[in-house]
Amino acid sequence: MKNKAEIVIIGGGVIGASIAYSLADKGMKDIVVLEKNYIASGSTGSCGAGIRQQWGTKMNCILSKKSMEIFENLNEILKVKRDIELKQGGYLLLAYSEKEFKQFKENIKLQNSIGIPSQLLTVKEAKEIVPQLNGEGIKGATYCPTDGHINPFRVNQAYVEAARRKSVQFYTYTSAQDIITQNNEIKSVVTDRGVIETNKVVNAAGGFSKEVSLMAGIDIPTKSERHQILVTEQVNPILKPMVMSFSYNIYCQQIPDGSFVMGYGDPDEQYSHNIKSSWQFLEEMAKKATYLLPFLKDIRVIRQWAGLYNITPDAQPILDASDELKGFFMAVGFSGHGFMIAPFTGVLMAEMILGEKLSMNIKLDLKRFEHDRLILEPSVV
Amino acid sequence: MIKMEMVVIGAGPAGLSSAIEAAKEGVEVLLVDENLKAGGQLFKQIHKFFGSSDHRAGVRGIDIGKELINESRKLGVNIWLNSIAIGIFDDKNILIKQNKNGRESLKRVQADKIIIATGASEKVINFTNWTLPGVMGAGAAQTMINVHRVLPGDRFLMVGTGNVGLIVSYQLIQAGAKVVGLIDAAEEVGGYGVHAAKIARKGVPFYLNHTIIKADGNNKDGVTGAVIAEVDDNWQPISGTEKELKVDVITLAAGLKPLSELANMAGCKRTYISELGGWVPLHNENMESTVSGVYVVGDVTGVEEANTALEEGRLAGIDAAEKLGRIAAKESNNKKKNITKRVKNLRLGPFGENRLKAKEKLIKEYYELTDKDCREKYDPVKAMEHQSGEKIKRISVDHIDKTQGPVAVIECNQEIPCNPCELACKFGAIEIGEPITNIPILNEEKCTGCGLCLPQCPGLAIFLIDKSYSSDKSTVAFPYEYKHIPKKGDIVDAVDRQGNYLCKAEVVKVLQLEKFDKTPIVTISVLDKYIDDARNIKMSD
Repeated sequence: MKNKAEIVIIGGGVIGASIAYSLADKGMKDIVVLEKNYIASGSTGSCGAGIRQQWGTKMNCILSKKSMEIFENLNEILKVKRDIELKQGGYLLLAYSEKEFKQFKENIKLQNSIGIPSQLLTVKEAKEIVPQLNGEGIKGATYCPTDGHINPFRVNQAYVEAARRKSVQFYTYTSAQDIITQNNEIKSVVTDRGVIETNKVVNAAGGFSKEVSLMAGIDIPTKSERHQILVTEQVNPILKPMVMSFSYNIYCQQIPDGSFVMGYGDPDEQYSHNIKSSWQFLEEMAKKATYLLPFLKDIRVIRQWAGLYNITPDAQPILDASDELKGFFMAVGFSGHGFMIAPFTGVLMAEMILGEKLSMNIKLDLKRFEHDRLILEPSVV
Repeated sequence: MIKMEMVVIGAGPAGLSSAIEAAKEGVEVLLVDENLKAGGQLFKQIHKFFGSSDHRAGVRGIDIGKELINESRKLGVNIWLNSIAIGIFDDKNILIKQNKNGRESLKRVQADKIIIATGASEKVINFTNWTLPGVMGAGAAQTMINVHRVLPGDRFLMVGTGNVGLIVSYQLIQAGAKVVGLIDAAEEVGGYGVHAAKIARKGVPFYLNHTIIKADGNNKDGVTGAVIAEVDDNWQPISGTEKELKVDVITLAAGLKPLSELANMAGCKRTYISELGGWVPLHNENMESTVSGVYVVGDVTGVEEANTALEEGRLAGIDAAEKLGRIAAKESNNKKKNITKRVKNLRLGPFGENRLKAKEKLIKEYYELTDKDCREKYDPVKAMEHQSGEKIKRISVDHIDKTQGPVAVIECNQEIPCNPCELACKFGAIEIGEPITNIPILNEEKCTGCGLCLPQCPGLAIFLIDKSYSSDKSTVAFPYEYKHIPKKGDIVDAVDRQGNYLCKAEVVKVLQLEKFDKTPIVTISVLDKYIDDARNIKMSD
């Protein structure tokens, strides 16, 4: 193992890999990525695989739109052959109250103003896209045809492959155990396989972002929370878009291989690193999903799993350089929507690390929590 | 939700015998199996069993299976067939896809005791075209001929000469097939010689020191032939020794691997032991796993044979009945002792020796792990609370200032008749006085941080703390009387008062003076936040 690096990125998920690629693409040498398990073994590999651009704040709309542009051309950009299973079947967002629908109308205006092709739909129009939908209680919907699905494992691997080609070193099954600092500067990262001298560290540790920050003596307000998902057997294509509702609290999509992937956020979930599956989820999910899409009752569940949302107080990520410790960067707290903005996050973080002007104005600093400058994004699960 | 005293998953010999033993003592048992018929592998075993009269020697497996099913039904065991246990969740909740008269439904059953008897599955080996129709497990071929009465081909090549390979070859011949040959990469037949002799008498060739290179054929016609070759000392095929065999089925008898996924989901700790087939759950001598109330029996705990599985099942059934209060400890212990003796007999001889050792290792690991988990550590905070009668949250050195420089910290709070520290201090900073059992008191004003008291304390209870080391780090010095003394500059693991890992630390000083009388003083630096707790380093191996 190398004992010296220009930068050490902690976390080999899609965020860490995307940052590593962007840095290498901009010419940085001696980049090391530490992954305590295998590539995509954490939140990336357990996410719902949905990608959407329908957000309620301009910043999120741009982040996701720019990311989608990269996703659409990812094979070409990264020069990798393997299909990333992009399916742009759209996202159908359902409103269950007049208030929610009013918010949707505002969102559409915002999204259209920056070129996201979303549109407002009546219940009737929504049922034209998803004829099997139980329309009961639905006040209206929005739809963006370019939203959809991508295989997170394939994307993560694609970034790793492209980064490796640019000489980035990925050390899997290698965990960071401590960050040694002196006079507010980073000296080295201690791993279970040896010490790597470095002056720069990126925390891209997903569900363990707080633990990694504490190694450097920096406390951040992120917490981890289990989110469960189930997948059904494969059947012929019958559902085009991701069907999602914030108020009814569900998302469900048929992915390209024919299986349905679905989940919801349990409001009683405790903060922890627990990723065990529960029978309660299976029961509740089945009830919710078969109410909304009754045809699902005849399709068998084959598996369930859980992953961690790494949540901040405003459910928006922290993309920042530390004020307290020179050379310590954070790309954490994605609160359940890290995968879909990973491509552009990698670009922005690389610019930040190299001291370049950021190609987009973001306000995702750590200080916002102290100064009560929370970002109020209405469209989060 | 259904409540049950005991749920047994898997109705093979191990599952059936545990259900029977528990039901005999009046335990309410639910036995679940994914197959249409109970009995597991017993129904494929049309041959007579080896063993002693204790183990129904000379009786065919299929007949033992019938007896076990009858007995369990007589004892009132609930049996759900064609029903799959899809998961074991928290609090011993089991989700079971029940199939009742053709109707499927999902049932949640909560059990006081769970017996996992899921058995094993066949291992495969891959070679060119190994996915063609006609390449199958030897066990699969055995199920087809003995259970479903279908002969899957005419000409067979058996890969592997363990007991499964030998017995299935014999049964294929009985079923009317031609076994073209048996191959094995090893230089000797793996299974019992008497089984091999049965086949040899039918003129079947054994290709030892041979491996399979490829299957010939296509997806439409399936397998049409096989190419085998001799192997060298490194198990590599020797080119030029290839032989073509005309066969339409290639059966793989490459061993079995325990089906331990459910046990893993239930939280049972596992270990990898190749002699037992791979990943196996740890268990104690009563077959209880590391999760209290969850037992593992039969091939899932290591691939052996049906008699051992039956005995392991009995052990678990009796132990569970005892824990449920249905059988007195004395009676239970007697029964378990007899079974354990019989199991030991089954693992005698050159064929059983490896399994015996592997199983002993498994049980040893169980105790290493559970001991570690249950061990009560000496808790210095509790000890101090006990002494002072006050509630103490944690031991800290908050009273030392960042700019103060090195100062002694005496962590001695019991009235022990002892005073070398008092005598060691040239500056009169440590006071014990009369009587000698007084607890030492440090006068920080007088303490120069020289550290001379450290090697003098027989209890190694004095530490030297220096918070002024750097802006964010402090040092702690402690006596270290072990063989491997670290060197200055070493990166070591700092541990707390209970030996728990805290952080990486740098050794900044090692003092070994003659007057210390073989008690070296090691100084390490740690981040300020660790200085309250860092009191030693982990010994290197």
